[in-house]
Amino acid sequence: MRDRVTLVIGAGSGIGRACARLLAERGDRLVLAGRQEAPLRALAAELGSEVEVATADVSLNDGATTLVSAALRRFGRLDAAINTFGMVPRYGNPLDRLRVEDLRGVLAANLRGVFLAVQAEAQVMSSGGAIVVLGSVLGEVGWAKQGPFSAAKHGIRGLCLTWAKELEAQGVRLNVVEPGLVQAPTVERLVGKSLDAEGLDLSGAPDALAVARTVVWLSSDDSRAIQGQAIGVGGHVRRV
Amino acid sequence: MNEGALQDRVVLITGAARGLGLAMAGAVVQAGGAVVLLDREVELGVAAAAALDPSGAKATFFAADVTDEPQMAAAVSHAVERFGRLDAAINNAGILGPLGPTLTLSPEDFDRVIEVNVVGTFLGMKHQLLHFRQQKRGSIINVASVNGLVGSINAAAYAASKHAVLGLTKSAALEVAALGVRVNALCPGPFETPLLRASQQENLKLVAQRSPMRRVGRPEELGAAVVYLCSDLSSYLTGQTVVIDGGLLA
Repeated sequence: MRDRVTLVIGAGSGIGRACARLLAERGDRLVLAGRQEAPLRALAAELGSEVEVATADVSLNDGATTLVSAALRRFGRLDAAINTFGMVPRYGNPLDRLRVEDLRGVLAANLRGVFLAVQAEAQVMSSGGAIVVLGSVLGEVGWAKQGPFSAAKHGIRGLCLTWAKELEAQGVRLNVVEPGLVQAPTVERLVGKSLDAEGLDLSGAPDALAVARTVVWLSSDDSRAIQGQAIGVGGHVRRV
Repeated sequence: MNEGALQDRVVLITGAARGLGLAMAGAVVQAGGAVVLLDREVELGVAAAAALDPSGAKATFFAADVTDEPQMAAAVSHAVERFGRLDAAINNAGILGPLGPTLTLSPEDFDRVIEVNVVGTFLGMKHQLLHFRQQKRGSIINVASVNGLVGSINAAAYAASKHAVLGLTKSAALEVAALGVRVNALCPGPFETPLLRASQQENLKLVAQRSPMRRVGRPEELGAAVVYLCSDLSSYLTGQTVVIDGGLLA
């Protein structure tokens, strides 16, 4: 569909940026959103004129509403929203050495952020739309020293798969993409040296663009029969 | 059944003043163990402990809020002071939160469910793990829900929180597995409890009809699983999600 308006929250880097580039190629009008303006401006300059930039912290109460309003103000509609934002904690402490504030921070930036973002997006999609959220394979398995991130991503899965059933009535599709072992700086940050310890190897793993293709597909009408699914991309990390 | 499986073992149970938590406590005592009942509800909790064992030798109450870290640390110390040891802990305290469309759920209501169910479970685990790591032994059971595995319309915050508890459970299990400390989750389906009664716009009968067993669970039916998971009977079982739901998720 020409003239589609898609909001990408987390467009400043990684998978979000790759999504924005694919969407621009496809002819979407875009709102590039995130917390930091500079990378969004740089990407906007690269992608052309039908692009709006908006900044906000979606883990705060009115952050996502600000971003959705920017889309409506500039383009008058919102057809799809892609949420790749999140906070990836450094490979760190086991739970019994973790400060409760660190857990609260990871839950707020990831899980609370998704709750508020999807709420703001779905509220303006009264005649349908597609929303995609970035989960993680750690939404399905645990990982030592990444308990808070695993909890947040499990929570995102539970939140979205429930919510999708509720949103069906208004024609809004909500799906989750769960990257596993992919070539991305965030994966190395996430799992630290434990990759080596587990004998896992990232060479040959898919990159951010491969994940983005799945995300963009789920945001498009080509996937209109897919609702309330969590789709894994990249290698799984099961131990057997 | 399971007689003596928890002989002389001490188990801390949160949210234990009533409902499933109290039923689990009953099962532990029946299997020969002693329990520390933890709850915010002081009067109910004191009465529950007295009902389990009027002599106080097998049951004691500890007033605490699971979202209060100093209190959750003190609960572990209290168990050790009172009974000389702590062998297992069941993090059962949780809330359902308001039911309704997620589209209009307030951030405050969302936060409250996450705080009690996820942060509260974490604070319990953290101080239990510190103790268990030291003694290189111990079993933690986090009570999640079938809604930790599948969604639940109009209770998305609850489903999110129970999914998150499984993430904490599996990650913690991996962190301490080599030490001999075990962490598992229990996912009950519909049981006859105050929480279920509160959540029913439909009545218990409708819930029962959806169950392959055509009935909701009885609280004591969780007891056998709790005794098994707390005891050495399950010594090779960790990082698992044990679903007790009458076949609902089959």
